[in-house]
Amino acid sequence: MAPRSSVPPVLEAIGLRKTYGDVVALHGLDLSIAAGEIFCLLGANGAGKTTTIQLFLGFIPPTAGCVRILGQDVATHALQTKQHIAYIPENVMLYPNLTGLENLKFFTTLAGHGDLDRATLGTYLDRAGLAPEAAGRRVGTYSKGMRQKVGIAMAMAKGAQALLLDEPTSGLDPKGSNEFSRLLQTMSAAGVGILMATHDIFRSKEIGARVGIMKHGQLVACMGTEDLSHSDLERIYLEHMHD
Amino acid sequence: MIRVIARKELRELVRDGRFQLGGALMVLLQVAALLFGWRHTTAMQAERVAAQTVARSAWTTQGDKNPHLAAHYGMYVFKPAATLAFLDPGTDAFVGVTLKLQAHEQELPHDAAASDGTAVGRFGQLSAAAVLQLLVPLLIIALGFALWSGERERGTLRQLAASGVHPRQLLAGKALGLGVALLLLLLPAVLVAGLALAVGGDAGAWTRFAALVPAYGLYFGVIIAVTLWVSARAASSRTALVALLGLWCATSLVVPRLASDVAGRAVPLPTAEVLARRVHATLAQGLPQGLPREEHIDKISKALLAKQGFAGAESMMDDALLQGLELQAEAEYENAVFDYHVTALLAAMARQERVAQWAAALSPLLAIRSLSMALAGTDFDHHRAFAQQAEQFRRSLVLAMNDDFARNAGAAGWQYKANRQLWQQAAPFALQPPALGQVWADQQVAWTMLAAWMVAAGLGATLAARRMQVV
Amino acid sequence: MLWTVVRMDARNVRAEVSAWLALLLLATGVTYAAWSGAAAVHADRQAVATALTEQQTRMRDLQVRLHAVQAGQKQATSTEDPSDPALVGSTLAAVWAVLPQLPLASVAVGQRDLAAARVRITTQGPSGRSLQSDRPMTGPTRLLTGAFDLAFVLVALLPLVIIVLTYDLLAGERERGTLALVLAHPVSLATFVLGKALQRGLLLGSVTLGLALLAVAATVDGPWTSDDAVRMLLYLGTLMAYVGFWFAAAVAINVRGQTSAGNALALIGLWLALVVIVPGIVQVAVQATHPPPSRVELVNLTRAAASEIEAELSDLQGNHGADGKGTPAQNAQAATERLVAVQVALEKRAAPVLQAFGTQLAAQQALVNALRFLSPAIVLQEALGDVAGNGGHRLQQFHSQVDEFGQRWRNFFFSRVSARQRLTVADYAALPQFVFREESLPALGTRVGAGLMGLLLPTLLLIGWAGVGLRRGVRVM
Repeated sequence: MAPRSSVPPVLEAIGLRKTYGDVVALHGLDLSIAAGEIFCLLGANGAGKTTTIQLFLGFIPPTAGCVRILGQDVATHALQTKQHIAYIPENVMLYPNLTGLENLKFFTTLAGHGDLDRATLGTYLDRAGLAPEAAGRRVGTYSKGMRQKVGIAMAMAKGAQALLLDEPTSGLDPKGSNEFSRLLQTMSAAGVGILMATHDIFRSKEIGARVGIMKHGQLVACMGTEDLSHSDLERIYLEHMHD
Repeated sequence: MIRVIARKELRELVRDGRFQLGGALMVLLQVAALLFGWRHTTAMQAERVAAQTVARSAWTTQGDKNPHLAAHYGMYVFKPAATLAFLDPGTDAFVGVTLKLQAHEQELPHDAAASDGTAVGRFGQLSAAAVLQLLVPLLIIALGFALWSGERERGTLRQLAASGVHPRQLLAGKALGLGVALLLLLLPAVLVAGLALAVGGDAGAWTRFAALVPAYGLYFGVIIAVTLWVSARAASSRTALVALLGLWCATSLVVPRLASDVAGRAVPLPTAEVLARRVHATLAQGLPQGLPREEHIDKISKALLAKQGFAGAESMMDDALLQGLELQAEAEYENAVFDYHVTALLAAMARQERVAQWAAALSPLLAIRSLSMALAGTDFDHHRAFAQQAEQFRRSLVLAMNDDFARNAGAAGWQYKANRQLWQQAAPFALQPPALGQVWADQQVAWTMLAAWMVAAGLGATLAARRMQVV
Repeated sequence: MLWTVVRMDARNVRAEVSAWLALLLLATGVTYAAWSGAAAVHADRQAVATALTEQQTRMRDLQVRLHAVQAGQKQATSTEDPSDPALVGSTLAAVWAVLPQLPLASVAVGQRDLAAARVRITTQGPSGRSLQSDRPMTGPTRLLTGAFDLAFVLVALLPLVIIVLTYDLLAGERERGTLALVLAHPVSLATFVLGKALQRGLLLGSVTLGLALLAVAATVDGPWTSDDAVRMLLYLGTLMAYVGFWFAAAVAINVRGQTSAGNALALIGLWLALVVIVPGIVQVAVQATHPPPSRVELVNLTRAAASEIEAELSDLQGNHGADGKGTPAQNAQAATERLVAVQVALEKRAAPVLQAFGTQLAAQQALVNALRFLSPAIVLQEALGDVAGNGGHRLQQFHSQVDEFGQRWRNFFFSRVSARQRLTVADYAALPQFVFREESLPALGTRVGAGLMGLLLPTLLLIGWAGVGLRRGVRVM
């Protein structure tokens, strides 16, 4: 756990609980991610990773507990908290009839940065790794990876202080995946707090993240990856999965 | 194999909330429409029968008078309601039900019920036929739009394709499943209609009812085939649904009104006043390209005289006979004029109907509507039969009166009076509705169109099923 | 923020083929209906003009002949005597009572294709009104089908175009996955939905408004008064409220969180209920509770009354004319007086039945007025009929004014018959003239305004319902 200070953590969950009828999706989750930190949530399908991210986004209300972004409760400050976060799902879905640049313009304007001109937005796309000639094409022609780059550019243009990622690397080829990791590291170095739900144990280690293993809606283990080898990490993960 | 698939489809459908809700509403509407229609039709029929009896007695008890004056006094006839009007009231509300038959004048039927109504009447009647023609297709679409596309989206189509079932068998199974589901929903209505017929129907009504059933079956077959066709071709269920709803709107709402508008434009009709003026002008001046009035009448009366064996020997006859024959000659001249104008008008109206029937190439609804009204005995052809038979009846009545005048007046001339005996000799008017064979022939365009739709939609559905992308 | 959403959605809609197609079809439908309606109105005006010209010529001719007869230049034949009040009143001077076409007439055919809007006034009396009326002949199947008029396009087809534009307003975003990305930004669901609905609403509203205005502008015919401007405002106001209703319904259904296919079915179901089923049920209810008296029975009743009256009169007057005891002139006068007496007595007998027709029809119309609030489609249909001047109210007023005028007409001639007066040139100048008195604008405004309220209220309820749904939030993924 990062030490508590006067600066609130970027992302914070306190006693977070979510139930759907009798089904318990989250079982009192406590989590805190500081600026510049990358936290990977590992776990089987249905462990509660996506639910956690949706709670941070305010898409669903918590049954108990609360989620805070930069110290503000998501439930009470739904719009303010979204000023500071960016969300990149497994499959970034954009408006297919708009170009990449137009999509970026729309979403950054929604985020309150309507003053950014095309050239500036272009540089963000460029930094996210989208080929310049692609920026003017309709998104309907994009590959999954290209759309994801637009998602990254959105986060950068918005100046997001927290990034919520849901399985961002599944379905990307190794090269794309590698590029994506590099971008995350850059952003983290710039002070962005990142929460990533993933299946990819190796990638989590590589980007030097803290790792939490989720099971049945609970965080069953939490560790830094610097002093663990790949095989140790895998062993620990599998141990928690079997029982 | 087909039965297995059909049973699976049926099971899926019956468990679907859409089927339960839509089906329940449909059954409710059907039965309500039938009961209301039955009540309305029987009341109407009772009213007309009573009116006919009163009119008949007014004729027979008119007192002693000159037979030609009796022909002037005239007789009202009422159009009896068709038994199956409770299923499909057709044009009943929009045509007249009564005619005054009298000397010298041919009247067009008047007093259409709809003119005593309000604007809500213009949204269309909620008859059993309207439910079958308009709403049942929507239900078929709601139940069937995802039959192919849904299988693909859920991924079950891959399983089916991998199991080695022929697409044609799959298609037949789906169509059968949907058809049986529909049958379940229509059964209560068929039973209610059958019950109503058992109470008040004659053999003719049963035959016509029996012909209606396959006609509607064919119509629903067309809708099912088109639904499956579109569902197989569409990229997604959503596209299939929107396309089918669009088709429904076009064929059920737009095409009928558009075709009607075009028909009105293609075959213009005079206004009532213009027609009356034309008839009067022709009566006064003679038929176009024909003899002038007096010469024409003269010619007819010469022919009548020749028939009586008095040609060229008028002086040998008594005045009454001559007068009677002249009256008859005048009547025949008038008949020729009416034939010229009224027959032309009725024929023009019938041509308008044909335009609408041909428009069935764009809308199967028009085909089934035409067939349904014809079989129910409530279409324009049946109405025309009433108008024409009534006119024939008028002519024979006038002839009988003039004949009696000619034969029996003798020296009394216009002072001659006939009595009740003569009035009673005139048989009451009895409408002979066109035979089923005649209806069949009149509706040739409609049923050919419906059959063509079935063939085209069936072929389309089969081809689409065969060419369907599994993933 | 709202405008960002509006602008983005405008781009999206611009790229949607179905939206273009729907708008194109709407424009085509409106154009065709306006053209067709204008042609029908034009034909009708011409028919009226022809009839009135014929009438004028006939009147002038009669007066010329009257002059000639009075000056002794010419002997009048008994069948064409311009000074015989019975003859002139019953045939020679028969005049047309015409319900004038309003400038907005092409908007809705209303009841004009069924009910008489042009009646020949003779001394015959109202029992024969349906026989004395003139209208364009429309085959029964065409009457059954209904006209392809602007009212049909606006009442029935316009909601379908709205449905095409809105059924996936929110569901489409969820199904494409863009909703999650949008809502990860600091924009509220309500703003987003409102922005999209506003964009499409403005688009469709302006297209509809433009088309509705153009359709009317292109077909306006005849003098334009300030009353017509009020009718125009009522027409456009009601139409816009109708568009608003369907948008509110679409948003409310989208907020329920179903799939777009589910939304499409729900919206079509609503359309079916409001445009087909409710009007059908209202029609059944109206007929069941206020059945019009039977025309069939009326036929026999007037006939029986006629023979009865004739018999009575024969007894009373002794068989004057028929026995031929007086001079021919005396006999003719006696026969005429007897005929008049029969007609007066007959109308007296028929009056209660005809009255019953009027009352029942008025009661039906009142019930429709009340029940129209069950369906916005009926509200709009009635309002369009009203502003076009072809609605049930105006036609009923016309019929009662025609009956009233017919009474004046009969009195005019019958009084001269019973006074044994001949008609003079002065009488011709004093012939009763039919002028239709329009319903007062406040009365029309109140009725159409109530309809407008009847559209706005359910719209507000739907918006409220949608608001509750929006506050509760929707499924995002």
